[in-house]
Amino acid sequence: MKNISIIWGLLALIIANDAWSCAVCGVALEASRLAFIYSTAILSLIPLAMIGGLIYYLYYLDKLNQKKSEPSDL
Amino acid sequence: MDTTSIAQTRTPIISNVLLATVIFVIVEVMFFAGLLSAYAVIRAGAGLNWIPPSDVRLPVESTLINTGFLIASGILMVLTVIWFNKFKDKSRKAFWGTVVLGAIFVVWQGQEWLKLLSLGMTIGTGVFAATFYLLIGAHGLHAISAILAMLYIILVLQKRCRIDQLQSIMVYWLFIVGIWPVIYRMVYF
Repeated sequence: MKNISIIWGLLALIIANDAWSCAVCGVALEASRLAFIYSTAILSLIPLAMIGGLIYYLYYLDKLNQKKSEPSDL
Repeated sequence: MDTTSIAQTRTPIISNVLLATVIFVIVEVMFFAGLLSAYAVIRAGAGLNWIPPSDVRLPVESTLINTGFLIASGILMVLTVIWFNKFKDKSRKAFWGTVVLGAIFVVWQGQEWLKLLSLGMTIGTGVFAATFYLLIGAHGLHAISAILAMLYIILVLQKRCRIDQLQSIMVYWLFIVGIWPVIYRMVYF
C-alpha cells in the first residue's frame, strides 16, 4: 500500500508539466521556468530566515540581559 | 509568585513598539518579495518583448540620483537614533534631514511619473507599464506613510518622543531604503 502511494506521488510529479499545474508550465521559455523556481525558493526561505533571525536576536538579547543582571564575583 | 511580581523582576528585552514594527516589516518584506517574484516570472515569460511603450525611456540616471537621496536619508535616520540620548539637537536636525530627503525622493518620483504619463505610458498601456506602476507605486506609498509617521513624531510628539519610537521608525525607514535598490535594479534595467 505504501509503495503504491510512492508510485502515485512520483507519477504526479511527472505529469505536473503536462497538466500545466504550475504558473509557468504553459510558457515554453526556459528563463520563465527558472524564474519561477528561483522565486519559489526565495519566497520559501525568506520568511524562515527572518523569523529565525528575529527569534535568535531575542534569545541573544535575553542572554545579554541575564549576564548583565548576574552579580559579580568580586 | 503572582504576575505583578514577575513583571517587577523581569524587564522586557525589547519594547513592544519595536517588536511590533519588526514583525510588521517582516510582513512587508514578504509583500514585496511576492510582488518582485511575480514581476520576475512575468518578465521572464515576456522574453525580448519586455520593452517600454514606444517613445518612452525610463529615467534611469535621474532615478539613480534620487536613490542617492534616499540612501542619504537612511544614513541620517541611523544617526538620529545614535545621537538621540547624548546630542539632542544634532539628533533633531538629522531627523529633519531624513524627512526632507525622503520627501525629495517621493516628489522626484512623482515628477518622473508625470513625465511618463505625459508620454502616454499609463497603467493600462500594457503589462510593462502595469507592473512598473504597481511596484514603484507600492514603494512610494510606503515611503509616504513613513514620512507621515516621522512628521507625527516631529510635530506632535516632539520632546515626548521615546527612543523605542525612534528605533521603530528607523527599522521601517531602513526597510524602505533597503528594498529600493532591489526594485530599482529589477525594474529599471
